[in-house]
Amino acid sequence: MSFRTIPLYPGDMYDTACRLASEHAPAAATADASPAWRQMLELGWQGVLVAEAAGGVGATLQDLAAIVEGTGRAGLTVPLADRCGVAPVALAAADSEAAVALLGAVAAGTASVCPVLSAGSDGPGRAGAARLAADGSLHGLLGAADLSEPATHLLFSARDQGGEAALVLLPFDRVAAAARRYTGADGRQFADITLDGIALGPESVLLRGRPAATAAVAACHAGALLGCVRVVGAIAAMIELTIDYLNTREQFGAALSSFQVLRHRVVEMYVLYENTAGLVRRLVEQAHETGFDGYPRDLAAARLYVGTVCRTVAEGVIQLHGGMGMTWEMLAARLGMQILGDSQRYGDPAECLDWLTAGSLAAAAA
Amino acid sequence: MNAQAPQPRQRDAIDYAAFRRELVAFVEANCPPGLREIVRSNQKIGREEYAAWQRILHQRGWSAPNWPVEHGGTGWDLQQRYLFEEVAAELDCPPLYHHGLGHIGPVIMHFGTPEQKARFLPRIVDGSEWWCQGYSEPGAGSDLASLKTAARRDGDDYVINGQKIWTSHAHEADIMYTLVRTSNEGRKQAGITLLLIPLDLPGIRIRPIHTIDQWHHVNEVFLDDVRVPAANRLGQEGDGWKCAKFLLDRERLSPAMVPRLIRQLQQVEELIHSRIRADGPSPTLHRALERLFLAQASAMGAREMLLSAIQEEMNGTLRSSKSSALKLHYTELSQQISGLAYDLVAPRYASRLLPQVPAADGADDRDIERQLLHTYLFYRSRTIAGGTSEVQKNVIARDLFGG
Ligand SMILES: Cc1cc2nc3c(=O)[nH]c(=O)nc-3n(C[C@H](O)[C@H](O)[C@H](O)COP(=O)(O)OP(=O)(O)OC[C@H]3O[C@@H](n4cnc5c(N)ncnc54)[C@H](O)[C@@H]3O)c2cc1C
Repeated sequence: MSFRTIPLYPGDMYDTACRLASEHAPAAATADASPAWRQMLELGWQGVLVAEAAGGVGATLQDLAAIVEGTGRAGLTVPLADRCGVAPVALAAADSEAAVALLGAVAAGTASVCPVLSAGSDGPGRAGAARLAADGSLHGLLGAADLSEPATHLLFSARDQGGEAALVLLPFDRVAAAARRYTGADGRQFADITLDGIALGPESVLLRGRPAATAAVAACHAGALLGCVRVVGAIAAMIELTIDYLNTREQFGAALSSFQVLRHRVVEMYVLYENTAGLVRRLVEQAHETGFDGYPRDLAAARLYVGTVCRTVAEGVIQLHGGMGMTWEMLAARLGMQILGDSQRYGDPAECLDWLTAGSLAAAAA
Repeated sequence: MNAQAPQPRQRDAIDYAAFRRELVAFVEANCPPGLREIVRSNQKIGREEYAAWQRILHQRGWSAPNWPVEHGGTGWDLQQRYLFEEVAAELDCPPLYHHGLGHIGPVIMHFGTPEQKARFLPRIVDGSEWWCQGYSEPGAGSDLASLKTAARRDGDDYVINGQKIWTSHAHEADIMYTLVRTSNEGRKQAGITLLLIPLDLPGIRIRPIHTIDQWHHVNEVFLDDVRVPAANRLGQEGDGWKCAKFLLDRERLSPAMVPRLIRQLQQVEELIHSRIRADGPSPTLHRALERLFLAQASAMGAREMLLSAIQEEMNGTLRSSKSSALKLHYTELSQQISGLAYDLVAPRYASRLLPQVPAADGADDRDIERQLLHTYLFYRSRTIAGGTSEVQKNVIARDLFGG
């Protein structure tokens, strides 16, 4: 039997996630929830991180990581990290009655909150574009909301004229008409949403000032970390698939896996995988112990590193499959597109490099 | 000097600066701005765009810059050909369509009968007939000689059964020059024959392949009892491998490749500059500049490598290790450049590759940054198509190590 990787968090959660994801071929995008996503909602995955008191499972970050890693192997486009990690973390910080009620609905799978958050200057990320005017109306653009599955609400960062942060929650149907939709390079469905003078009631602003900024940073931290976890799952599958492919395909009367140059290239990817898996496991443990407190420098460095790993592995896997590596039908190639996409969200490599450098320069000058 | 031999214009008699000016003036006056805009913004171009420009060049007698005059070419010398490609790239003209002019045309000139030359060459020069290459098969990629598509002789025809894959442009081509197996005796290479197969024959089915770049470029071609007249065979039965090698050696020496690289580098430099103006000189942009400078130097080297290889080819001294080295270097450099562009555009466009409702005025298509993301993805195939990098390295190593 060919080589199989060892998951970050083996166990029932991981096995269930692998099984569920592998049962569903990636569905063509429609306005309705995909069968895979419906099943995930029914299983209560949006409530894994939600406290039991709020109707959730109250499980650990490692449990969610196991789910994200397992599904990450199958090339589905479900927004697990956003809906099951980022949005619940931000909502939990809000702690208002409305937020708690919404968390209950999220855990039950009757609501789904699409986050469009920015860490502002507290973490790598481009400044949030939504602006809150004095009359309570919203302006600006919310970029690249992941709407691969239907959302009932949007949760996003905004700034008022004084530069104060706000955490805003809107029912999705209030902005649905203002969404310009795109298919990303990885097959996910995104939208840019123009906020053109939408009037806000006070109930829509969940948090203001420092608490709003802190909640957004914590949620971005979760998104960045879970994105890395998904990459680990995807790369594990890509390496296994590539080994299977090279063992099976013959050219010049021999299996491709008999050519040393190809073996070495897979070995190099495997070493990157082990290293990345170790790094990401460490960061998950750290977040489990200390919570999503601020956006740690280590995470930014990890994302910068993971970004380069994603490039190397995606490009390597394509090359090793020859023409087949260019095809959308090939799961390994599609996973390559997905890890490239993952490395662009919640701190892309350029943002991380710039943020880290600014921090280093400031430290050197101090 | 041999007074009998027809002499091309003497090198020192040609005023290259004036020639270049003539080219520039011609392009500016005749290449439609809309077409140049498509090329400038890196959009995927197909037969329509290639052919439009080729028709214009044909009227001027310039549609086959690398061909001899007797077949409708320009008879230009190396320097003129290179200048033509340089000006075409700098001014965003569509490239010349390689499958006809670059690939099969020279093979027909070399191996074709007088009837075949008369039938096929003029329509390559005027662009009225479009070609594609049917070499690769599902089981025969790097190991092309193991191809199985079978051609059985039946009277004056061949009857063909099999499948080709990765056939670029088949969906818009008229004829596929195709390697088929006519014998299973002896060495695998010896049983291969080159046939020119019109794609409108009964029994041919073409299916698109969905690729990660989201452009329609390659296809599967299924051949089911397709009858092709034996007169469409190029060379003798069993000569296919020789023809294919002849073609491949030329495929790697296109004078167009380096000028297009240099144009891409200019575009990436403009992109970096626009980012610096907008965001200030961030560490990311410093890093991008370093990569740009390295790629610029590397492209300068590639230019000299190409020119000397073409010269050697004309003198008959070119080693296959050098043309493979050029292919290897050029394709990897083009990936470095498109990879640099990717790093600049992906943060914005990775999530916005395909607008679900494209802007009615074509603004999305003209958006060069979006197209650079398509290009990056498409260019992953540069080190696969036409012989993978690994295979080029094997060829080079065999020559360097003597076996
Ligand atoms: C965009 C695109 C356009 C194309 N256009 C055409 C076209 O118009 N007409 C046409 O006929 N074909 C075309 N091709 C096909 C192309 O020539 C083949 O894809 C190429 O030859 C590789 O074959 P393969 O895809 O079967 O890969 P494989 O040969 O299966 O190779 C898979 C991997 O194994 C490696 N490998 C194979 N053999 C060795 C070895 N001996 N030593 C070390 N490594 C090895 C390869 O380098 C590669 O990394 C196109 C391909 C692409 C992607």
